[in-house]
Amino acid sequence: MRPLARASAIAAVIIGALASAPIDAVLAQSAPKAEAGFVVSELPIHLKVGSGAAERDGTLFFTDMGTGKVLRVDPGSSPTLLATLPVGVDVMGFPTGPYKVAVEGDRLLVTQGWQDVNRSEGPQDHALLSIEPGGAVRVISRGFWNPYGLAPTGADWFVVDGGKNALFLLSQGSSEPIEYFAFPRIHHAASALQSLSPTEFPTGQPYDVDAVPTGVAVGNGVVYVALFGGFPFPDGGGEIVSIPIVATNRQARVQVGDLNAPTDVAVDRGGGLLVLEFGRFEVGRGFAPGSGRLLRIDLATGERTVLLAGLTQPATVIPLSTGGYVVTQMGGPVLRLAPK
Amino acid sequence: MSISRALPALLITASIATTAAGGDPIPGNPLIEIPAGPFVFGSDSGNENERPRRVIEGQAFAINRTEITNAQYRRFVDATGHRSAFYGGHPVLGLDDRPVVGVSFDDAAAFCAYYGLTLPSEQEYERAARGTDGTAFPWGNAPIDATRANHGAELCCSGDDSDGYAMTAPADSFPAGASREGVLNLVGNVWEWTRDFYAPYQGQAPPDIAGKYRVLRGGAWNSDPSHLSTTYRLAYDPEFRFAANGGFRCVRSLAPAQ
Repeated sequence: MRPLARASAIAAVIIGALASAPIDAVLAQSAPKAEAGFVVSELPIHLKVGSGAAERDGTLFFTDMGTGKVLRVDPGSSPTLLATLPVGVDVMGFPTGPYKVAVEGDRLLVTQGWQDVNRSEGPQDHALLSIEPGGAVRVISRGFWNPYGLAPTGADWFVVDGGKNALFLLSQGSSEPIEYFAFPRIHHAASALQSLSPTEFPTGQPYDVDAVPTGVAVGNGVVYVALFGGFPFPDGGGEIVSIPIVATNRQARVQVGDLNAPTDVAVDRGGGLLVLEFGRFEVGRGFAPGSGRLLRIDLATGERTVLLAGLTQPATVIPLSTGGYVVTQMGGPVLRLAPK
Repeated sequence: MSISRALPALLITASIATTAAGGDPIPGNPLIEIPAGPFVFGSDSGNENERPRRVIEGQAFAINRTEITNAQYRRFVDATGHRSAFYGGHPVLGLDDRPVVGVSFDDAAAFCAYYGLTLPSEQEYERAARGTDGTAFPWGNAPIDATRANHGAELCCSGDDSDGYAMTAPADSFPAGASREGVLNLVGNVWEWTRDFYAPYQGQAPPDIAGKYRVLRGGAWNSDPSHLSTTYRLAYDPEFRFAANGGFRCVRSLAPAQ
C-alpha cells in the first residue's frame, strides 16, 4: 500500500508502528471481543506480521510479512513451512513481502511485494507467484507494483494493486495483467482534515486522497474491492465498491461506505459481505491498537453487525468451510471466531 | 524582568561563550553563532500569513549547523529512554547520517532540552535562513537548484531524485546551499519544527487556532517550489509524529519562549 501518492506537505507514513511491537504488549492493550453467539480464540501459530490466509478442507495456509514464510497448518498438526519469500520495508515505511494467499488445485497463489527499498529488485518482486506441490516457487506475472489482494475467478485471477490503484484481471496462461478498473480518488470534506493542519487543509476546500485498493472478493456476479483510502484516514473514509463482471462500460458502485480503512473483503456463506477495518487513525498514535473490527454486512438490508472488535491491524478474513472465520492481524495473533 | 527570567539569560550567554570555545553540546553538530542585530522578517509576496515584511531587532543565538541526525537522536534515546523516532528503522529514512524524521513537537523539544537547548523560534529560523537583508534563500536570491537543496517534484508533493536523493539526504550535504554563516539545509531536506505556536504575525489568532498548532519551516525532500521558501509557514498538530519529512534542529536562544 502507498497511502500518499498526492501527499500533503507533510508526508506521512502509517502502518508499521505496531507491526514490530511485541504481540504480548499489543494484547495487553486490547482483547478482541466477539459478538454474542461467537467465541474467539487464538490459533496455535505464531506469525511475526500476519498477512494472508486461505483454507481448503480444513487445512489452513498463512503468509507472514515479517519472516516471508508461507505456512501450512493441517488440523491438529504443527505448522509446516512451504516456502520463504522476500520481505522488506517499502519506500514509505510499510512492511512488504508475501501478502495474500489463495488455494488453486494443488498449488498456492501468493501476491508478493518486494524487498527493502534500498536493495536491488529481485526476480520475485511485484509479482503473482505460485508455490507448487514440491515447494518450488514460480513467477506467474510481474506486471504489478503492489499486488495486495487476490481473488481467483474461475480460470482467471483478479488482483488489486495498491500502488497502481487499479483492479487487474490475469488470465490463465498469460503473464500480462489487464487493467480491469482504475479507481478514482476519494473526496473528503476538508473539515475532516483541518484539525491536522490549518495551512495545508484550508477551510472550505475539499481534499481528495488515493483510493488504495487492498482487498478483493468475487461473488453475487460482481467483484468487491476494499478501498483503504489515504492519509490522514478520516473516520468513515474507506469503502467497499462493487464492479459488475461485464465486458465493457464497467462502473463501480459504493456497496458499503463509512468504513475505517478497510483492508479486506470476503463473501460470507449466504452471500453477505465480511469486511475487515484496519482501525481508527489518531494523529498521535497512528492506527490505534484494538480499533480494528470485523463486520458482516447484510447486502439486502445494509445492516452491519460487528462480529469481532478490538483487533490490531487486521489483514485478512476468511470464512471457514466448517463454520466460523479466521482473522490474521499484523499487530496480533491469528484468531478464530467460531459459533457457540 | 524577574530574577528567574533574567538568570537563564545570563547562563545562556555564558554557554554561548563556552560554545565558541568548542563546547558544543551535541557531538558532531556544532552550534553556529548568529549575531544580534536588525534583520528582515516576513514577506509581502508570499501567503497572507507571512505578512507583513518588516525589519525587527534580533538577539544573538546559536543554531545547529545541521538538522539533528538519526545517530544523534538515537544517542538521546539510549541515554534517556525516550521513545524512538517513528522511522528510526527505515532502510533509508533511518540511516545514521540522515535527519531524524517521525518525531512530534514534544519529541523534538525534549531532545533539545536534554542538551540545554530549545527549538528555534520562527524569527530565529528566518534570521538564520535569510541573513539580515531578507534574501529569498540561505545562499542568496539565486533560484533553487539541484546543487543547493534536496527538494521534491515541481507538482506537490512527491519526492524526486534529480538532486541525488529520492528521500532525505545526509544532514551535512548540499554545502552549496549553506547560509552565509555556514548553516546547512535550512531550505529542503526536512521540515523543521519551531517552538512557536501558529498565529498571525499581527492581531489575534482565531479561537479555533490559538495555542493549538506549532509551525514548521523550510520545506522538505518532497516539497514543490511553492513550499520551498524561507518564509512559508506550515502549521501542524504538534502531536503528529508520522511525517516522513518532518525533523528539527536546536538553538541556544536568548529570546523568551512564546
